[in-house]
Amino acid sequence: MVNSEEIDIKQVWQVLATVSDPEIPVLPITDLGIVKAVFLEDGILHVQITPTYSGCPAGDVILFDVQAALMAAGFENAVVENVIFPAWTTDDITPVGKQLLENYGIAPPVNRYLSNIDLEKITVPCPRCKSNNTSLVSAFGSTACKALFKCNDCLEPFDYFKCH
Amino acid sequence: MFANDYNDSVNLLLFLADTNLIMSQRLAEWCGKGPTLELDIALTNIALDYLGQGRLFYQQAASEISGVTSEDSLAYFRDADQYLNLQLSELPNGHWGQTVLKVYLLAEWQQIVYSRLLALSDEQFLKKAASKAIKETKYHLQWSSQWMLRLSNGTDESFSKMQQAINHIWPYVHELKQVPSYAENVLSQLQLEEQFSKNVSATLDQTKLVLPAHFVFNAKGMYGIHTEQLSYILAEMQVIQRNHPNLTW
Ligand SMILES: [Zn+2]
Repeated sequence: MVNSEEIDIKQVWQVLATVSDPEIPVLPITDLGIVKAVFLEDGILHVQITPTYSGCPAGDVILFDVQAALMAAGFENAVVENVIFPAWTTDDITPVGKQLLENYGIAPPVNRYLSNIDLEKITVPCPRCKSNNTSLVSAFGSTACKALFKCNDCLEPFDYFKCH
Repeated sequence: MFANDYNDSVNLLLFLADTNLIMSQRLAEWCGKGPTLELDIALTNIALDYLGQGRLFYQQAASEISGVTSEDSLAYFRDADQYLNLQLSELPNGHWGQTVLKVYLLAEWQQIVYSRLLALSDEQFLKKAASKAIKETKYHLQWSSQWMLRLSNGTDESFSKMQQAINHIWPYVHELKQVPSYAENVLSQLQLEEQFSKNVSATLDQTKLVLPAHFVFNAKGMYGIHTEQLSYILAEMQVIQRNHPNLTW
């Protein structure tokens, strides 16, 4: 067990970077931007996590995974809290996170937070062949945070991470 | 006269929570039956958003009610006359066009209500929840209004089905323009009424849909008065918990 005097916040962030959203396993939660705060209060380690979507079924799993990862790293008494404000936005995804999404085959958000949610009017480059010749198939994909597009050049369907 | 044991704050939370939960439960009936796989998934995702929003409001309500109360006890152990959801939410899905219309009307309503809550101070729970929820509502609104236009301006059959849906649903729309007594210090009756009519007209004006002749039907789901439909929904939703209390997955 790590004593509270010895808690190194940087090390906590490193542990958090090993946890990912089970629906986007390639993306650490630290790059997804849902870790709101890590701090010590009266010697107790607090980690605040915010959900992406209010109904996201991965939300409870992530809180559990964070607690488990912290325990495994010796932070046994960490308090993992769910906070909803300020609300998470896709602007909170780090540049590294956006690159990881694209490498994984999910097109990252093309606009800033809710600046343009008309999915039929935006240009989303294909994550595979980079073509801009793509079109919307469905505003909701396999999860609420994604829409389904298809590439008219390489003909592959792909997920798009919606601005949120 | 409406009366229960809760204060205004709790009743407002239940009003928002119940409307979301019942919409969610209704939409979930489409799961596995959508017209196409994509639409099935879209509706399921929207239903999940409603459920998530409902849970936020239930959790807060539970924390404000004294005694042993949880989000689950509020959802599973209250009867129809204790539910404060808008009657619109409990109406059967009907055909695809009618479901789209329900989602559209609720999205317009939630957009206005949540926008209003955003004007509260940062410390207030309602503002925090609204700032989360309104982003989801914007997508519901965009998705449903596009379907409204597509069906209304589509074939003769799709138009006549949308007109049929309007005729059937419209009497329940009056309630969406009413602010319940327990929300009067947070929501403005005048603003809600004006804004809702204006926004809905902006969409309907792009169609040839005709609104039914004016008459006032005072739906009062917000005061616990419901159509018989709600009891059927609750029976199905609550049966497991009531037969096997505290059962978990
Ligand atoms: Zn391509």
